[in-house]
Amino acid sequence: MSHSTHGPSNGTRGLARVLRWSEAAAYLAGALLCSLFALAQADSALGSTNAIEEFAASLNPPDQTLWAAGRVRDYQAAQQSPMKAVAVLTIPTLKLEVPVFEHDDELSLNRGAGLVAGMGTPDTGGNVGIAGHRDGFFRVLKDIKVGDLIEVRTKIKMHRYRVTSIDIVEKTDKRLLADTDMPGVTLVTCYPFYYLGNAPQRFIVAATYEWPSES
Amino acid sequence: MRRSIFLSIIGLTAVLGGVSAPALAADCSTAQFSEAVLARFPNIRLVCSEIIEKDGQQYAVVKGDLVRTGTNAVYMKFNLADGTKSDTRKIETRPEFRVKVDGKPVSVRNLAVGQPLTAYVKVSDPVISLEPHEPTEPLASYPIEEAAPAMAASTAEMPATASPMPTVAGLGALLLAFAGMLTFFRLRRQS
Repeated sequence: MSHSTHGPSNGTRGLARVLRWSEAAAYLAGALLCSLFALAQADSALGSTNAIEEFAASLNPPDQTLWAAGRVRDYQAAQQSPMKAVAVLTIPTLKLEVPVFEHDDELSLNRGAGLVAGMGTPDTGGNVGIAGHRDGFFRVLKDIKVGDLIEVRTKIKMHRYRVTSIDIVEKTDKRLLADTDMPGVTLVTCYPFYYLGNAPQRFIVAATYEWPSES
Repeated sequence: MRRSIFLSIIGLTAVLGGVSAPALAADCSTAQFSEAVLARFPNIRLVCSEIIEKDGQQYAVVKGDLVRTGTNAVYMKFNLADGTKSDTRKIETRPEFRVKVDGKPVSVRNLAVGQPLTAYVKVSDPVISLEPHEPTEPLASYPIEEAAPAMAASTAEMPATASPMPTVAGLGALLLAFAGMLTFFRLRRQS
């Protein structure tokens, strides 16, 4: 009785097969995840630019007097889309210009900033909450200073705010999101600015309304 | 010569006095606000810019800025003489009520914070009204409410502001590095 000693054993061949499959799966999954990231980056850049351009165009709506009623309805419905910017936020000292969407969901924050639900809006007043990704558009907030100007252009009016305080709070601390008698804006992003995963704190920039006579 | 100068001064004083006398009759500091108006609006004289007559009634004109809009009300802070603003006042109105903005009629529902507005406070009664866009339009009369901060209960939750994309990219890069390592060892074993 003799045992064959030629070639690898069944166990070795099995391990090699598993490793080949793992290698292929890792290439595929890695390529998919990197592609997803690249797509998100492209969507962020293009979505933000398009939203700002569409917002600018919406400030001067086309003459619809000769349009069919259905076309006017479609145009108006398109203007109400949740992915249309409701405002544009500008911080001149940081060279930041970002569209502000109605909601602060993931897609909106990938393309710009979003209004925080349950807080005021720029036109109706109160404390307006605007959230943004700390690893995206709002990373520049790390350089903001008290006294900096924040501009929020809505379809009705340009609102100007002056930064009055910068705070770092726990993510459960909602005191700075409370309503205020005077109109103001509160910018919210995660802190620390360089952190992988869900950051434990929030970076809060509070600014009060600047009346036209004060500017 | 001296006598003529003296007489001129006397005459000028008399003329100026004659001119200013009627103006004083409709002045914010001398207007006869009713007790009810003063009780509801104690600083009315400080925010009043002039007294006008409309439909046989005297009104104090108060100017200020819109600080908040509500469903059937606007909230204003009025301008004080020293450049500061008064406490917040709620003025009831209708959403379709139109005021004049840059010479054009604009409904209250389309007003935004920061908009300068004018309101009229009736001198004899504690009622207030926004200035309508048409001067001929009759004034609506809403009771003057006590000054109070315009604040709502906040239901806001701290938003999630960390994008998962850096984690996705990091994981993808790790997987590609792992796959590359497996390829490297496989090729080395084969050679």
